[in-house]
Amino acid sequence: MSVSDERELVLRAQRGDVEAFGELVRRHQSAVYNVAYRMTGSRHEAEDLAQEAFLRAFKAFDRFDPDRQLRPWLKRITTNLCLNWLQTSRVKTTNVVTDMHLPGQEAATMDDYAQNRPLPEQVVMRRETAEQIRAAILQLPPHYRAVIELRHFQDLSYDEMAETLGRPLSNVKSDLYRARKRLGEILGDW
Amino acid sequence: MKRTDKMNHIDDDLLNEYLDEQLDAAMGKRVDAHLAGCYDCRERLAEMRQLFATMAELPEASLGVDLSRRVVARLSAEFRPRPIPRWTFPIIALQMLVALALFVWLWPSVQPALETAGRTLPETAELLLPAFSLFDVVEPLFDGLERLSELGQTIGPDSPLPILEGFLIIGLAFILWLAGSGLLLRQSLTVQQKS
Repeated sequence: MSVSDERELVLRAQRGDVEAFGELVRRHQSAVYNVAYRMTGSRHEAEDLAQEAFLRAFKAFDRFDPDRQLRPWLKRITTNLCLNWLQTSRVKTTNVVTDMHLPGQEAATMDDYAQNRPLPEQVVMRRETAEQIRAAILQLPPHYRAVIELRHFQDLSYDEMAETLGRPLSNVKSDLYRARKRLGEILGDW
Repeated sequence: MKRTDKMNHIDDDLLNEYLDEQLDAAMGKRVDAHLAGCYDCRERLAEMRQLFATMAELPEASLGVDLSRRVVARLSAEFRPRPIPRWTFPIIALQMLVALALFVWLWPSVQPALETAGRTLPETAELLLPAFSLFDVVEPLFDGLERLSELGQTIGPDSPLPILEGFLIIGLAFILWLAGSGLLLRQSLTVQQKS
């Protein structure tokens, strides 16, 4: 995917070309979906929220600068959308994560041993670690999940996080530090 | 400014900023110096780094469906082209009639100016030569223009308008046409987006 290809698609989509926007959705849907999945813990909700994020992005597309990278912008929209959804829905935190398995993780074969791929127990350990991390994040209140998502999975600076969330810098930093501390406590307890 | 001398430990805020590389160079060096001599703070730093590394290793979940089809279907339904509203047809017809009437009315004034330009500007004449070579092909068009010229002489101004006035009138009419069409287009789009 070249930058110029994507820029051309963006320009076409900004002129109302829905098919061009559909191609952009194909290129970025996995990344957007993962933002929603990390925030909500539910595949079904994540799919719906990812779809809604793309629809909102298209409606706001005339304000997007085509010289910027598209994926970070989409991820920020998704984060805010998920945060609003979490804050308005009845489920604030999930004590039981509904989607703990990771599809696509197959059992190891003899080829895996020969080619130095992870052994079955290593695959299991990684899966368990991943599930623990997801579950721990889902134990956090929505605004803590948002700052963890923006900092650790979208690599935003403090200023960018404050701008994305529309909150004072000091509040964002405070939430981040407390979220990390809480995460450490949760993971340490397991 | 937080204290980092060896008698005190680095507080959580400062440790977080250090890990996020948000400290200025001077403060960063002070933290480094403290860490060099404080086992407890180094332990806390290592735990936080481990937490960061653990999160960084979280694999991406696979998306089992293609969202693009749903998105395109929704957008196509919301933004499908609407036919031009019927109430715009009389306005468009009126615009065309006004444009034609204006052309007929002004042609006697414009034609001499074009002829003058052709005589006085050799370059223009050279450019027009290929057009004249196509005269046989476009002769019916010129015949039509000549008949319009005769019509214009009967309904137009008694004497040809000065070149500048003529072009000003054409320019004004063009701007009004653009404005009218732009407003119509905007109204059409507004109706489209609201539906």
